[in-house]
Amino acid sequence: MSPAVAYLRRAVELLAQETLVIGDAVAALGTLVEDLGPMLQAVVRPSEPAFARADVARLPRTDDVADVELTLAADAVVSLEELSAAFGLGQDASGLHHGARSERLFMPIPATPAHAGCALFATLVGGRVTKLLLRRDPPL
Amino acid sequence: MSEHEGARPAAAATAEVATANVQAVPAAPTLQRQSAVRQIHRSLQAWRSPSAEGEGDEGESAEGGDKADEGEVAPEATAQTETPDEAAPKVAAKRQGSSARGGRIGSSTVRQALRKVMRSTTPPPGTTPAGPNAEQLAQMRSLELAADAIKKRNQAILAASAGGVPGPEAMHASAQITQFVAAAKTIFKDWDMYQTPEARIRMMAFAASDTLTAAGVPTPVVVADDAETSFRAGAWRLSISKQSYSAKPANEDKAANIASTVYHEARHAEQYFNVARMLAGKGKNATEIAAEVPGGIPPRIAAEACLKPMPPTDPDCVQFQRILDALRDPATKKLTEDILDKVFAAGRATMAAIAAGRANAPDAQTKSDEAKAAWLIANPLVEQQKRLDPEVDAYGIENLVKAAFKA
Repeated sequence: MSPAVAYLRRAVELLAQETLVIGDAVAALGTLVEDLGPMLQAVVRPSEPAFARADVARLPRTDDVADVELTLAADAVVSLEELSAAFGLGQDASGLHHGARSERLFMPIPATPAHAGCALFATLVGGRVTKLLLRRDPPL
Repeated sequence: MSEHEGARPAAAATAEVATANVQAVPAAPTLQRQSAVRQIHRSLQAWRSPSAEGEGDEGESAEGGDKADEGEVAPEATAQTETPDEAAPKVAAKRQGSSARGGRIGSSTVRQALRKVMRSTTPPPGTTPAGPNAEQLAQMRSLELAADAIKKRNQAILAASAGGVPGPEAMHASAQITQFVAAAKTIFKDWDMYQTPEARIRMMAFAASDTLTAAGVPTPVVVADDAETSFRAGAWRLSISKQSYSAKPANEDKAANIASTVYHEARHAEQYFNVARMLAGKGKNATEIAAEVPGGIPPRIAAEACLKPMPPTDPDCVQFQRILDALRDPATKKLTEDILDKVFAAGRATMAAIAAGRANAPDAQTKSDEAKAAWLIANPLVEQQKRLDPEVDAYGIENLVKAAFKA
């Protein structure tokens, strides 16, 4: 498993925690670059160099983490095959107006009535994974 | 939506020349009220007789140029009021604006693509750009046929929905729009007080959040984005372009565009939520809804929808079923690809020819006529694409907001 996918795995487990506030997520993911404050995201420099940036978004009007979007470094490569091997086959999640972009949705840890989960969206541009968004799903 | 490109490349400076040239062409106000059907006919006329270029193509060019300069290149969604096929998506009285990427609704990929086209059109000094070649002409012919097919599809949608009169959606309510516009105007009025783009975005996010809350829709996550203003259903995330909130809008039109774009994207959230409510009304549970709505809406949003199911007898179900169908429709995606890949190629030729025409190139006028005719043939498709239900609906409400903003 590549360091990037190993980092993703840790991030998935982090987001599947029952509670997770911005400060804890930032500390776990890397170094804070800038916190844009209420309603908006905190920008993080990930500890894994394959990722250039992480945007840690807040649930509206709270300090709880809603999702984390990781932007791959220009020279980094994470393939769909790697993601499938780590998180399952996934499904197409592209919609209208995607243009050159497409999306693939993985469900590494589905939420249940008892447990929180985490979904992973891979954004592809020209066949290359450019961003990975990890959505935190509270228990159903 | 308005997707504002970040850094403008040096080449954009020359492209501005093309834009400025386009702006210099007098616009035809009537074009904005012409139906897609009439546009197609006029396109064909222009195609068959390039010299008989009507005010329509000039108007279209002017429109495109003007909007391109503003970072808003989409042709007016004019056509919303006149013919049954336009009225199809009930939105006849409403209007236009951004984009739906099932799961990832990004406001104007179309506009962004157009803008890029316009920025890449200025020919090198001393050269004359070519008009459309045989292959392009063949493509345009096929697009013309596709436009007819789409018109028929819209007519079928209208026929299927006859008798179902969608009720007023919460975000359509004039009180909602008035409240949002008042909040947005405050942001522009107190622009300097907020000091940073993020602070202004935060205020706009609060305004959108208040609107959605009043409409009973879960507030999206909000992020300040380097590139675009868009709504992404899978993450229930509203991205707002920092570009739009960096420099104070030069005039009321631009301010209205910025505000209405956010409303447009917020409307997509309401669309998705109501689609989820409609499915809940059919007895689906949260897990099923989350899986069934294209783009994979978050389970927490689906769960909220289950608390507010839309009864199957509710007339609004017709509209939201149509929206769901449009989001699932492969033909819709194919059409979008056609527009982005081919129609804008025709537009590129158009703009290049116009730019050359302004430079008095020997055969520029002929080439300009050819290219403009080609553009007109292609353009109805862009208009048809706007009539796809999620977009027509969102563009419709965006126009209401713009009008309220400028009232």
